[in-house]
Amino acid sequence: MTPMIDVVFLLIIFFLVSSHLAKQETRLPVDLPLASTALANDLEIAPLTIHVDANSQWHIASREIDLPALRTAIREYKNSSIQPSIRIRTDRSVPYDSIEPLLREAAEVGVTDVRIAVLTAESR
Amino acid sequence: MKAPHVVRDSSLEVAMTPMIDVVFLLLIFFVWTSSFDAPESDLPSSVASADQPGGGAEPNPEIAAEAFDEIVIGVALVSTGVTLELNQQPIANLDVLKTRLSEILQLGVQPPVIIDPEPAVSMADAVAVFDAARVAGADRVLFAIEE
Repeated sequence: MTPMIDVVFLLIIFFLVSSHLAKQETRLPVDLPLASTALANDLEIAPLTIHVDANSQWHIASREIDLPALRTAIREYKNSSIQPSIRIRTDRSVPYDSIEPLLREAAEVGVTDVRIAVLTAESR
Repeated sequence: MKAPHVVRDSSLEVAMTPMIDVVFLLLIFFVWTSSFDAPESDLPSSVASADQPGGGAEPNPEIAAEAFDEIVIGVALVSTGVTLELNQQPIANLDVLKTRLSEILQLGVQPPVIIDPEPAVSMADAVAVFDAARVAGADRVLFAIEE
């Protein structure tokens, strides 16, 4: 019995860990801007996260996208979501003109809840 | 009938090897599953376009009535960093901006504060100004977009 339980526990741990790592893969490592105020995390909403890396390239779900693809993605997301919300994870060195099209597209499609991911003082 | 043979281990010593096995497994489990990333938060944002001033945020009719009173903070890039303008008046730094904004907000009005960064201004600076407006007490802070 004991060796079997050992093996089963190892398998459980392996699958837990590998699923955790699979989740982390979707997070592009970027240097978020710093802020001292922030919203409390709202677990009710399922935002569409748009990553902007240091080269000002937009990513949705690890795929690089351009403006037409962005428009389609936001529109599809809005149609499928009850409480649409867009979360922008941007590198702090990115110039504003790379973020502005994201805000404009969100507003044109009708998503008014746009969030900018930041690091707050407590998390530093 | 033969009585069952019971092995009695009278010693109360704890078996070390299985305990170490379990402790190591737990250690590995927690080290692997813990995330060393700093927790992230969100800043609420919205956009104000040149066409509809103060638009984009929640359409509250009482607030919309005083939409003419909006505050526009311009952020421009210069060689030494960024310069700030509050309704076209130059502002020395973020602390002055915070003081000026909180003085305005103490009058009891809650005008939309629109951050209008130049295209080349980095998001770090834009978010710093955005954050300063929120620290000053503004509850509707928007980013400006060009039409």
